[in-house]
Amino acid sequence: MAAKTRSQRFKPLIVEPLAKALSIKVAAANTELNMSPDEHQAELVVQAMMRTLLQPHIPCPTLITENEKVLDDPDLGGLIPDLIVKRVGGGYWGFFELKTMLKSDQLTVDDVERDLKKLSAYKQAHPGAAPIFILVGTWTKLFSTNRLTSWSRLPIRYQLDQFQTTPPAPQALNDNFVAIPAGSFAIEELAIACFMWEIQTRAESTVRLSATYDFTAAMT
Amino acid sequence: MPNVTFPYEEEFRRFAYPGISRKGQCYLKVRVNQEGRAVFLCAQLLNYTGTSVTNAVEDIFVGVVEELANKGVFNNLSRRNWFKKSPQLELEVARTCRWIEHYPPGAGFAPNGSYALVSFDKNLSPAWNYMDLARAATICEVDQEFLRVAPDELRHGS
Repeated sequence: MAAKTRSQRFKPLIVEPLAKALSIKVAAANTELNMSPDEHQAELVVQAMMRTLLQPHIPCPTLITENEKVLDDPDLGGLIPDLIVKRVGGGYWGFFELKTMLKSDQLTVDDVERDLKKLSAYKQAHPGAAPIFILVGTWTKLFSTNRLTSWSRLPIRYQLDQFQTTPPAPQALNDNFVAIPAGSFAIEELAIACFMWEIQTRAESTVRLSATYDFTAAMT
Repeated sequence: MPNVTFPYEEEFRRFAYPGISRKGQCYLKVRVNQEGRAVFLCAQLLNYTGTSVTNAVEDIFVGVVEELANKGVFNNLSRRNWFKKSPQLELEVARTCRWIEHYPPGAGFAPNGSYALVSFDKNLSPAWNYMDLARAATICEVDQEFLRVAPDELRHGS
């Protein structure tokens, strides 16, 4: 007799665990080293923390990759996302670009602009995937007058009211794409804050794809 | 259907929802104004090991909106497209409400407890924004007391 197969659909959360835990993890790692909670961590270290946080929510750790070129863009060159999450069975679930603004970081507006262009290119090439921009920074740096003034050149904004509306209000990147606030952690008692945006096409600016990683598991 | 007076307030000490492998429970409180705009407080119970309010947020949201709609609480919200239990109503409530998710001290990652505004998109896909209690109260236009729940109220099994 043929074995019966039962399949079940799972939808583990992806962005919520990152929004909740990344700031805390950065602060905790600094405290473990007897440094102040907002001390500098190299971007690669924060990226590794993201990977650690994502792994329990993805069915297999090999579905998360780094240092892999996903696209050749005529203007931007070969594009390598900070983190790539693949779907079970092939294709991309999403792409992450991370920028940090911790104590010793010298993040420029141009750096962010380039990441946003990369994310738009990923979306153009892979419309079903969720390109996500993550900003992790200290309250002091993020909300200094100088920083807010220079950041005003950028199309995305992290002022608290931008992340505290329902439904999330899309921020226009260009004629074709928007950045939708997708999650945040901004609690003043912790020195580190975290903001996330999902890049979407203008036509789909009321829909986010990044909340869950949907997959079906079959058990025989 | 009895007349509903506004602002409408209701507390669900234990609100049941379908969990991942067994039924879940949470604490829910809602205040709805004359125009049908709602503020929800959805709290995780203490000493509770079932599906969390975070993992079940869409089910809890749909469940409580349906229950309140049956009582006529949202009659003023969507007069133009009024179909009881319709997805349109859920979307309209999602678009206009404030949904605060609360983990009391001892139930989540934060030693002092946590508050997050959950905002839903057009497909009821949620996004969490963690913030201070004071900020949550401001954006919900309620007193902080509305968002505080005594630990005894949240003890699972009580």
